[in-house]
Amino acid sequence: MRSWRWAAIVLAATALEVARPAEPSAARKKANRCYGVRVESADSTINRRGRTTVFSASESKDLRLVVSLPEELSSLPVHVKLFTPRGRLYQVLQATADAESTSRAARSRGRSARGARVLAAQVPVAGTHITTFALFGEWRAEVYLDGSDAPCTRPLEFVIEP
Amino acid sequence: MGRTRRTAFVLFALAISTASVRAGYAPGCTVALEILGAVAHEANAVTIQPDGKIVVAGYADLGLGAGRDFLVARFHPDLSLDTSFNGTGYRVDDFPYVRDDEAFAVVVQFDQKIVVGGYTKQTPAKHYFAFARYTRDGSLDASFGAGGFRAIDFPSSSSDQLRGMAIQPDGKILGAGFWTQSGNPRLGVVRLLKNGDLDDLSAGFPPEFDVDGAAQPTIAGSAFSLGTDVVVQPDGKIVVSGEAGFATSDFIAVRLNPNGSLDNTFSTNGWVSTDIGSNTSDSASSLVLQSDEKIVLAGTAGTDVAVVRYDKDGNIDATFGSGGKVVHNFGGSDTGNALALDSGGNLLVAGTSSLATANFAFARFLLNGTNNLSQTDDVSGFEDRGFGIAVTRVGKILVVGSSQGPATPKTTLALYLPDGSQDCGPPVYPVDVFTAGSSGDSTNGGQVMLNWLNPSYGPYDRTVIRRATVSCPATHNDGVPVATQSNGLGAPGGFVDTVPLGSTYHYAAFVLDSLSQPSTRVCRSATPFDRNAGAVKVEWLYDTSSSALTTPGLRVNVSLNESVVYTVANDLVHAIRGGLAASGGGSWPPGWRPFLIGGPVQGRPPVVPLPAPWSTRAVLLGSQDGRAYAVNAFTGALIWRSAVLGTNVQAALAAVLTALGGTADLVFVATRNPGQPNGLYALDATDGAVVWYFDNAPTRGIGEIVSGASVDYAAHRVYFTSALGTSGKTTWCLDYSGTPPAMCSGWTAFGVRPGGGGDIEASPILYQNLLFVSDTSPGYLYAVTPADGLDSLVFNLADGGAKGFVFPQFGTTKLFASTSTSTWSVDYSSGFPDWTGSCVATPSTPTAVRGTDWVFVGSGEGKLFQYSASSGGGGCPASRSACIGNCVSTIVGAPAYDVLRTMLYAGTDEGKIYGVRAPFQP
Repeated sequence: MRSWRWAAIVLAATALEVARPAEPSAARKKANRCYGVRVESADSTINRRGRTTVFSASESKDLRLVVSLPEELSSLPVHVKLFTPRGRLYQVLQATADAESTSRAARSRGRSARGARVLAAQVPVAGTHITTFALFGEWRAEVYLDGSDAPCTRPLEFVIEP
Repeated sequence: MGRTRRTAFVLFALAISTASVRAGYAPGCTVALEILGAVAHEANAVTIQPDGKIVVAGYADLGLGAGRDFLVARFHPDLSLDTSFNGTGYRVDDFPYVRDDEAFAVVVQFDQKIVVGGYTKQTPAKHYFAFARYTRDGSLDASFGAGGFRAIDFPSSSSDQLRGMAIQPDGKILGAGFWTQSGNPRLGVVRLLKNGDLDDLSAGFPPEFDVDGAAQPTIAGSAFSLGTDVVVQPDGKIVVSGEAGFATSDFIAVRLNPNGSLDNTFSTNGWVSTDIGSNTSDSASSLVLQSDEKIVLAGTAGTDVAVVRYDKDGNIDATFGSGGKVVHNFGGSDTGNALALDSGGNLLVAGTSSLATANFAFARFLLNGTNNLSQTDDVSGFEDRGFGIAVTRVGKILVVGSSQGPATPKTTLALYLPDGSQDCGPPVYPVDVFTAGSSGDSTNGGQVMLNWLNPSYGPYDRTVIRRATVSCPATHNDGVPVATQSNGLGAPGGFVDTVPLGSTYHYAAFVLDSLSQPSTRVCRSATPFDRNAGAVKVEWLYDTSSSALTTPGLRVNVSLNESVVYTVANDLVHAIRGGLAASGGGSWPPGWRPFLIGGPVQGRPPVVPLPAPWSTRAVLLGSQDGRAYAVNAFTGALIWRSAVLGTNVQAALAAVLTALGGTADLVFVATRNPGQPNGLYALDATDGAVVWYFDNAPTRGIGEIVSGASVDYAAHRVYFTSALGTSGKTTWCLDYSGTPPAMCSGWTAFGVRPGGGGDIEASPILYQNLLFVSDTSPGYLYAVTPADGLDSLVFNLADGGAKGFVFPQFGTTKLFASTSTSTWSVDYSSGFPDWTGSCVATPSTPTAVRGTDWVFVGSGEGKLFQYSASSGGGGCPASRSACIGNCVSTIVGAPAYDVLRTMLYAGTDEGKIYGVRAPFQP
């Protein structure tokens, strides 16, 4: 067992390593791009109006915002800012690996030449401010990587109807 | 968490028994703890507290032949020592036995107590499983074991050693490791109750834990076996990683049922072994459970790091690496000692890679096992060994272990960015929170109520607030000086700035160190207004500078002449003093520190008296991170955080409390799991541990629970509603007087209301011995008889279901509800609606005030409106309408009425709370 291995101590007389200058993180963050973000619901059939996805609040208890990004960026914290039809920030959600997105990514492995990873954030609808205050109309979701100030992909717009 | 390994040291014993500390290397990136006089100390394990603080555990040898003792230390997220822990940031504890003690695992309980596990040695050949528990301030917890210590002796075993620990959702403590049989180690697991006693069940069947609190599963065909780590699945089953000796030693994963017996649905006999390399000695040191319930083990195979993944049934997962296995070479002789998951579900492995000297080593593996980060770090230039790994709240990779300078090994922590580089953080940290509220009058001018929370760590000399009228001051020398305070790290600050009315003011907060080096700025804006202008008087507004708000909760203490409003915005819990601005209204209460929780909150937070040992008021919160929280209503400090109970906790929490005349101290938490089973949890109000869970098993099928429960203290019942589609039965009644609870026996359908059905998103309300529930579609309000669950009255609201809940006017038979477009008054004694009002669009849940004629609603058009409870009022006069926000597009949530201050508090989708003098008209 590894626990019982005894290691020899080699007191090499090398200089103490101190902190290395860090590359400015902002410079790195600018280069990070996500592939995209989509919205889905397990409760209702997705309707499309032109390029916009439309959901009925009476049919969709919950929505999922699914972020697709290069696999090598999947270790970075991913946050989704969700804005109401009036343009107000509604919630900031952390997109994480979950069972559904993880299994989907596993199934799609080999089909994705780009090595995409999907993370997800849940948006409850039924019984929330969305239905209580009739926040119906066109919503916008913006995705941010690693605390960057700039979204990592084009914003997603979708419609929630009564 | 960290795990296995051992290193021998030949060191000097210094005749110094006291300890002092300094930080070495590069603060913010890499830090070595120094305990003066210690001949050696190392961190074997790490965990992150909910507040982001870092706890490590291992051993320290203070010399003089004392041998090794438990070491536990706590650090701030920037790796500076947290001196609020034991006064020094660390402590060294010697078990009652005279020989070595060493910790290999550390966990934080829901109530923030810290449990450390390892072994204590009585004689050279006799080890015990050893546990020590500490309070959050670093004291030994006298309520655990004997004086905070607990040692477990496996019968007929000479050496018992703990290597991994986990906390079950019910608060029981699991320890995994090994005991010995005829000189050979055997995998063993113990379970302790919350007080440190062995969990000696009496369930009547032959589970392992039933006998003596210990499970000693047999790994058939193995010469020996060891447990190294343990996790608890959501279904309560226990998974242990380790090593077993066959032809060579192999990885093993063992799954136990909650009672400790082998789970025969896992692989063939409850365990699975994997031979990484046919001629190598393989040892799994750590495991994690993925969100899809796959089980991942990491450890060492020969001189390489190895990772293995199994599906939830114990089959090797062929989608991972090569045939479910990944072998990784850092370039030296490598050991894999610890495993963690990042937020993206990737696997992080930490260990040691040795060439000329040993170095920290860590690697990341993607979903399919592909390696995309592999790094070694020669931290000290000498011997550096990584034993633990964790991911911080901001996504940094934390590796802990030891580094050995020219003299002694020292506990060492190193932080890395996700790309493997180091970012030591800013030289000075900015304020954690900064808010600006507004008020004013024509006589004295405008008032801006500024509040801020200093950073908890980093250099600090003072906080400086500057003001400008055009834009936020760019530097701490720009604009006009407003306030300079030196109240210390982690302290809240406040100042009321008096300015002329008619302008918008921009404020910047800076933290300065002793050399006047500033932090980055944090900006806020405020536009003071005349609180006496207009027909309806808006006294103050408090701006969270954040997102849509939780419906405000309220704490009123008449004897202290105090009222406080609570809300959550973008995961930050705010408290605001009620009352007039001249009396502090619109500012933080003294001593309040906003608390960051793990996700958004929407349910109105109840403020309740918790039992001993707290004996204080707590704000109860259910969050979209799937947890329940209790936060001290006076200080903002976290009292407890539950385990993850579901995908989401949407509903406001409810409670039965002895301080309020109840027979138990339980907090009820409902889950909102899309597409998964749902249920109602009862948590121990003292520590957030699960007492029972009801999911209507085996039938299940409760549906998502969107709204809060209602508690009948006299009948020991809790009622809740759910959303289960048009055919579902969605009103539930449980008798909580026993554990587990019973479905209400008097109900004709055994605790499920047979009438109505379909989705219910509103809370049930028990009032005057009737249970009022409202379905979502078509929108009926039912009065249910609690004795039998049958509907006694049905009202057709004909405008969708009631939002939130119906609000009774206490002392009368009147109920008030808001539907899609209208507000309703219903008198259930007559069976018909009294009146219907449509004075505001998309009205909120109404608030009726006892003993008055006032009913208040918010709206989707920036208004608060006051109806007459008796008549609805004549028309919709502007004199009963308070315009807040921009009075057009602002959405105003359900208000809370303050009987002490005669004020109304309402939040908006702009992230602001308004304090409004009420009533608008007598």
